[in-house]
Amino acid sequence: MDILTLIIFLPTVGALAMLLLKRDSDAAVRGIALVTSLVTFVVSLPLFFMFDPKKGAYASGLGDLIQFEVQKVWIETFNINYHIGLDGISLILLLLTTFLTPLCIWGSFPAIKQRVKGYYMAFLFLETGMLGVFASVDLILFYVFWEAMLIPMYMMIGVWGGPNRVYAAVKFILYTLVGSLLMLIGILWLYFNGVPGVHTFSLIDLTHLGQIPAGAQLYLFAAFALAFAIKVPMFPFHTWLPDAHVEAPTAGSMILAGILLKMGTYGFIRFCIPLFPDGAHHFAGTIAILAIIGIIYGALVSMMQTDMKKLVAYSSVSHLGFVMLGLFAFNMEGLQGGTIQMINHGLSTGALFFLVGVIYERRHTRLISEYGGLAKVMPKYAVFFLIVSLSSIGLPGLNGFIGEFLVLLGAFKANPVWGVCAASGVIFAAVYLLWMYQRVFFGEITNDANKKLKDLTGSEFAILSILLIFIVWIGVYPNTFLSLTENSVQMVLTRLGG
Amino acid sequence: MNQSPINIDLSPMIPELTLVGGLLLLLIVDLLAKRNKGIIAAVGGSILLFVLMIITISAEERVGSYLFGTVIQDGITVFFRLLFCLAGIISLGLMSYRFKDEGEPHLLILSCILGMFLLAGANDIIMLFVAIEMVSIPAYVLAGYGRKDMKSAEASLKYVLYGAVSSGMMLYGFSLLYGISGATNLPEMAAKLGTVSGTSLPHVMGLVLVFAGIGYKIAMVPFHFWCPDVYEGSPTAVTAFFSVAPKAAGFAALLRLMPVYVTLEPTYGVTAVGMITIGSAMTMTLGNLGAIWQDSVKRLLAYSSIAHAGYLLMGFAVLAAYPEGEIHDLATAAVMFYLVVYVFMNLGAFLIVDLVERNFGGEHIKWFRGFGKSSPIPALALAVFLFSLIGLPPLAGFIGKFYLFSALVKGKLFALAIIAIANTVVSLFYYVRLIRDMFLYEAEGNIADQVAAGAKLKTLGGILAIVTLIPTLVLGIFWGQLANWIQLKVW
Repeated sequence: MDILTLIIFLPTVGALAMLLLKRDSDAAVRGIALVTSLVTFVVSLPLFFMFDPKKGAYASGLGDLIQFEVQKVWIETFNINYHIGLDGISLILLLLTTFLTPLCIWGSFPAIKQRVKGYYMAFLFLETGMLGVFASVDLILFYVFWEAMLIPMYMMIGVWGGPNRVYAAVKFILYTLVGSLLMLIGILWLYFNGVPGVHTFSLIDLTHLGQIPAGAQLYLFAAFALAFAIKVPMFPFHTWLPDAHVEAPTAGSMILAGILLKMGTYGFIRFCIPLFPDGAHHFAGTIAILAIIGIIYGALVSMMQTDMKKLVAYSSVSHLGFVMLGLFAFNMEGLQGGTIQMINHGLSTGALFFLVGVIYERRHTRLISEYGGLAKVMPKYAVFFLIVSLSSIGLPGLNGFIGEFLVLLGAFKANPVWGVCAASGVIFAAVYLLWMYQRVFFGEITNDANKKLKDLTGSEFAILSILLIFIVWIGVYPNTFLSLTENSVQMVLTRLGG
Repeated sequence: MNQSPINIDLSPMIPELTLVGGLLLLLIVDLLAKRNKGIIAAVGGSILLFVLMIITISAEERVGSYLFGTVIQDGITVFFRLLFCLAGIISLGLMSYRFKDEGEPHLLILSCILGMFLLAGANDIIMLFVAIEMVSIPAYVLAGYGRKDMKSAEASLKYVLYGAVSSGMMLYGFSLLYGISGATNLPEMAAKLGTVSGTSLPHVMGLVLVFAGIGYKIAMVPFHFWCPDVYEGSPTAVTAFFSVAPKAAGFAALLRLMPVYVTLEPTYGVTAVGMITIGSAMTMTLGNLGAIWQDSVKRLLAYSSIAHAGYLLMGFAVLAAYPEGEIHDLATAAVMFYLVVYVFMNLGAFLIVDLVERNFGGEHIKWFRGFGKSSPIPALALAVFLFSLIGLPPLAGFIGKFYLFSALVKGKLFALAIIAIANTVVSLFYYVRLIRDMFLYEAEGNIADQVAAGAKLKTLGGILAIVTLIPTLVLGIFWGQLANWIQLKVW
């Protein structure tokens, strides 16, 4: 078996192994979950070193870039293949997934006390789905993994979520399904008409040989873009996100922000733009404007939130606006910035959700007004919170700066007005995050319940430290990651005719 | 067609004759048996159906038309016969819970299947009509088998009345068509109608009436009114059978009639594509919208089965638009594949609903609240069936939808595809509502203790659950074999 298949299906094996356990063996379930996800991470690490970032310079399509490629016939009648492989972009997202999952699982230990087995099974199935999405080169395989994530995520929000979880879970699944079914129609159209004379679901064939008429590209771009825009989520399709985030358990929010939202942006850079360049050019203005609205709107709404988790959730809308703006700037800086910003958002917002979860576990409230002066009782917590907030704001030296700077640079190049408008989002971000920080951590302790709060436990400290290493790494030496994605981004630009 | 009347070759009728023989034998055994009559009949019936499957497969090569062209044997015949046997075996298993000491209901199911066997091979309007009636009449009796139950009696009466009207309409339609074409044989009729230039009013009327008649049988909107009442009133095991087998038989009949339908020219503004497209769109939309408001899970599944008939009709719309060629074959295969998947997932869902009804005494949605906690395995199985009915990968229902959608996209019927998407989203709402009630809600009030006691799938239930669950899971991933097999049947 090849390494990539192994990585994708290891979590499933772990989940199935749990079935053999008795009902009340919670400790064993936690152990299996953590070990499985850690092993998956360890097995995925060699990919980083084996990957050749130089391969496929000036590639004209995905085929020249793909590494670790595996192709096996799945359904002969429909020419569907089990076809997987990685390029730079999917590699770093895959690694982000294998990296964040064990942290999330570890972080769930104190929070999840009920139906433990079901929770970790759902989590591991979800990981397989996410890894599969990033590794798929065949459109049907991609679609199957894409939809297979729905059920575990629905269960995670619906069973282990907050008080309004049922509503949030149904809303999440409804929104996502609407988009993805339209994409399925688009996929089928590509299969029949994408490459003249051949019926294929292969993304490689479609990017290399595809001759899609410009008129059809508009519809196809719209069908695919809707599915991805809902997932990102872009303004005005974002309304499911705050509900899902607020109700999901902490680890669910981390994985939702860290990985699931990236599926949308990944979909744009992997499918929408390279497959339908004419469509992309046609819609670029609209999407950029929606992205800018998202940046500013998300930031303004964040400012008004009284619930810390909701604040972080709306800040995601703002941050992903940056990613989208970068992608649709259609230049090297913008696309590279957007890609690195995907990783940044995964790390920083994941960490923020974790931090909010830490305090929620102790006080069972996330209202900002309940807190104040926490810096005195929880100094370690306060330090981590500050660093992560600053990284999210975009302080030079931390990861957020690199991404936002590149995106803004790209946006300025494409259209100065976009750049100016988007830059205001950075200021707003500073306002809402620092304001929240001030209200929660500074001043006197006004609420007696907060006087005896415990500072970070050992495992919380460890999880945050690991996240912090990468936050600083990207901030100081982003080239490790930028060099991986450069050729893929170049290919996208070539397809765009730039 | 060139056979002389004296030299009748009955060999193509071997499956039917075997079924008749076996049925009579079981009837005698039923008379002699003292106890466990139902179980004997169910076991005997299952064995009989199993033997029939073997006979059907072994006679697969015998392609051609027989008995003065009234009976045809081709891949599609074989396919439907196997499908009916499969649905029959699973239904008999379900029936034996409810009817332990009565043999007749099981035998009625077998007589239904006899009609379906004839239907699968019918190539002549008279044969077609007789076969449809042979399916319907035992079904009327079965619907009323909950003898002491007023609802069951009502269901039976409704079924008879609606059925009689629809048969009458169909027969009138057939007579009109015969009048124009002078042929009862379907290919001949299609050929004759095709040569008539322009479409006359009786031609249109005939086809519309026949379509309405078939529409009743498959519960197509606006001829679906009987369906929720009959499904709710009939014993659950019987409903399970109704929701798959007679419906599949109706589709088999429609498949045979398609060559006649494509002769329709738009003289009066009616075309086969238009008629079926509208029927399909209305059926799935009303079926899904109706299901949202249901609190009786049986009724919910009844409406869901109406919606699925609508999805299946999409395939027929493609068939009508492309009378032959690659797209035609793709659509035929899509319909057949969907039917297989539908049999498994729908019978599976009814299996769990029946379990709840037997244990708790009702199938109102309140009995499902907290069911996931007290009985995780049956609840999980039902969730899998429901997710498959929605059409989510990696379950078999997705592949069924994928097949139908690919036929639609290839046939460029995008409007219908968009309607189907909207419908799938609506359907998500009520299926997920049931899943939500099972897993996310607690049992309420005075029934909480009863639900907390849970329900277990015993040996037979377990076997039936595995038989329906495994294909629902496996056909979602490894469906290449089945797809190949079906395509061989089509070409």
